[in-house]
Amino acid sequence: MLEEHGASRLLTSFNDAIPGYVFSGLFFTEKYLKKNPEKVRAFLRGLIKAFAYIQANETEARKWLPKYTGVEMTVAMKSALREYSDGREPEESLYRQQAIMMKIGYLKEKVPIEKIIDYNFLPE
Amino acid sequence: MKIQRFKEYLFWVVLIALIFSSGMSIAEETMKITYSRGIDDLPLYVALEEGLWEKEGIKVELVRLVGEHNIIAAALHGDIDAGHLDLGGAFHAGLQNIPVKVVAWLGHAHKGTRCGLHVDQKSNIKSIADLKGKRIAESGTITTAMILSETLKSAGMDKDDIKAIKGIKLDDSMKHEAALRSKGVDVIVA
Repeated sequence: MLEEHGASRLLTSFNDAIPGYVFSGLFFTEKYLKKNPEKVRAFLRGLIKAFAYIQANETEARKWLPKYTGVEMTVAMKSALREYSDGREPEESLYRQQAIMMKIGYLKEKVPIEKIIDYNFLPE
Repeated sequence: MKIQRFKEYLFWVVLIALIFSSGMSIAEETMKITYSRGIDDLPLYVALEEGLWEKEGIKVELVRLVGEHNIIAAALHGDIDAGHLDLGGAFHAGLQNIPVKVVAWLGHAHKGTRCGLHVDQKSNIKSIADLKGKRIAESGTITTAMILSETLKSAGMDKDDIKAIKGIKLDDSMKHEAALRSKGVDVIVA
């Protein structure tokens, strides 16, 4: 977003450093998932439809950014968005990021991704 | 006597009805989901504002909460129903056997991604090799640490080759602009 103010130029991007970098996800507690599976499925159906909406109606979607992020509309209209999948990300991307975390000392040991992810509630 | 028993009967009927009705309202409770106030959460804003969750029969409220420890604690305590978490936070949660699961990722970087290492328009920093000895401001999060590490590695350097200034917030573009223009820093990771 910095560039949109004319203050800076991009030297190198996150994607140049780590292609397909996965930023963040949404989690529920295991207790909540067991107790409310249909509610979680409905929530994720709405979320995936939002991904599709953004891809099909990008300008309309961007109009909501100022309300929630505080950025000016001109910035909201130009900022680069994430690339959306179906809510899942390739295992190799997640493990590649994990390997970097271990290398720089952020993570002590390897964690199987099955331990942190549950895609069972996503639409097929 | 009969009137007294009828009153007692009526009392229990009303009480049971109240318990059941409150139970029904719990099932219809609004889901509270945290958001980061960033562009990454655009799908959440769109789903809410375009009524996509409403069409699925659920009510959702976006709640502003920062810090992965706070967000996880709030979920475990039942104050929120779901939260946002970066991959590093998710791995840490897994390592500590915290009973949470990521159910969906909110997208990934691509060739058009503009998050990265920014320099002043007039800066003489033209390549990654030029970063040697420069003051680089970053948030101190795992995301910026990883990006910086991989960027420096590509030019045969590591964190000891730069002067890292930690603590800048990724979503505060006005402060970034001021820091670059005042020459307080040479590079901002944002």
